[in-house]
Amino acid sequence: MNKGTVRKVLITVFWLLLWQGASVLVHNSILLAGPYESLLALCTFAATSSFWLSILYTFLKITLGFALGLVSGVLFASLSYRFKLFREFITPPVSVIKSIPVASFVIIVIIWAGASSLATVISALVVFPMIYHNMLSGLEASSSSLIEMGRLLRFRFIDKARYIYFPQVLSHLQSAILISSGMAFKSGIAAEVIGRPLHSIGNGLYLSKISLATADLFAWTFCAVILAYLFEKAVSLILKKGSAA
Amino acid sequence: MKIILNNICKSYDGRKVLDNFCYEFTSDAPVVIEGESGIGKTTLLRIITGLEKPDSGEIIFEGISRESVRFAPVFQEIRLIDKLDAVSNVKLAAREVSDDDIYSNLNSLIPSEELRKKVRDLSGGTRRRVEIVRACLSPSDVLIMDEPLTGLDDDNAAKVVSYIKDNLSGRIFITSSHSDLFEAFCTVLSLK
Repeated sequence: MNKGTVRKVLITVFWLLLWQGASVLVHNSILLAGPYESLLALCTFAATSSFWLSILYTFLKITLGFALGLVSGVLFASLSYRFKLFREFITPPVSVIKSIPVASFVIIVIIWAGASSLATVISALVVFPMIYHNMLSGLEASSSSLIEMGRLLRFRFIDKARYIYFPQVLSHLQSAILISSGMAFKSGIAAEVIGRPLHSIGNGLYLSKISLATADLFAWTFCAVILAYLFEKAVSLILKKGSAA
Repeated sequence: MKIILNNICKSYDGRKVLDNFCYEFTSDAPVVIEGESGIGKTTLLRIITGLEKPDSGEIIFEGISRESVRFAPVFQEIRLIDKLDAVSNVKLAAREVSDDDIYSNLNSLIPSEELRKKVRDLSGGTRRRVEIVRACLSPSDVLIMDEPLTGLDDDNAAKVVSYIKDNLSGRIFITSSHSDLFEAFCTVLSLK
């Protein structure tokens, strides 16, 4: 193990010990459950199939929402860049989506579509405006001299996209994709807490709230953090490969 | 095929660059536009390609519709896809031409060891020659070259001019240049 890793492990152990110490001092598992209790709660969950189903469903639904937000953001920004009228047409709804609080959307979606598709719709709505704006500014920042060149020399659409627009768009989109992937998980799970669809991390969090089971709450939170982390890592890996190509 | 310019006017910030400019470009008579810097050579070329609109006047394309005219440009500053090599850059504009043909055309102006390097790693003069080959090989009706000899030494400039002359293939050719090398086969159009 190198020096940096040892230091990271020691720092993590320090915080875990501090957390454990604080929970011993507070001596009230409702106010503050310690890492040991939380780990026990996690192990108990792990033995049940509904825990794994919750993780799987939440992950799939939010990933689907993220993908929908990403694809629609890219598509709508491309159309807005190409057609001025479309852009004027789409600007008000995009602003509305961006400014309405997530909680309001959650209620609307529950009324319109029910709780089962909630995480998907909400994460798509959170991702869409970020991708839309960053994609559009990337397209606008594309080199006008190369665009002229591609136009006169009649480059194929695919070549224009790949060699003229994509490099510029990618640099604008990269950070937006990373940030929005984290936000998709946070908002998707927050929506689940309000809508409480069966087999979801949000529902698990809600149940720990009503039963005042802080250790369960921490265990579910740990799962949510790990899921979001893994997702973000996967997205960042794909982006790295994409920009190297 | 003919390109007829009638009474073209163009001003920038109140300064008239082109004032009732008239000319007829044909495929039989290649043209070199000469004149001091800032006199309007680039503006004229951009107006012909449609990249800029004149304030007034008309451009008539005879023997072909405006929409179907294919231009092959060499711009005043280098415009290549930096991360691709010379052959791939030419291929983007000349998809029907075989890699071997592209290679041999490039190789007539550029040493072979340079051809598979990314163009961002090539010198300005070499990049310029890639652009000239790209323009000549791209399927087109009009070759437009804005100062194509910039950055080339005398030997290479002479080679490039001879290459262009051999590859006009009946196309309209309009160039702007400070060099007198084009005068050997082009009509001189002096802007004043």
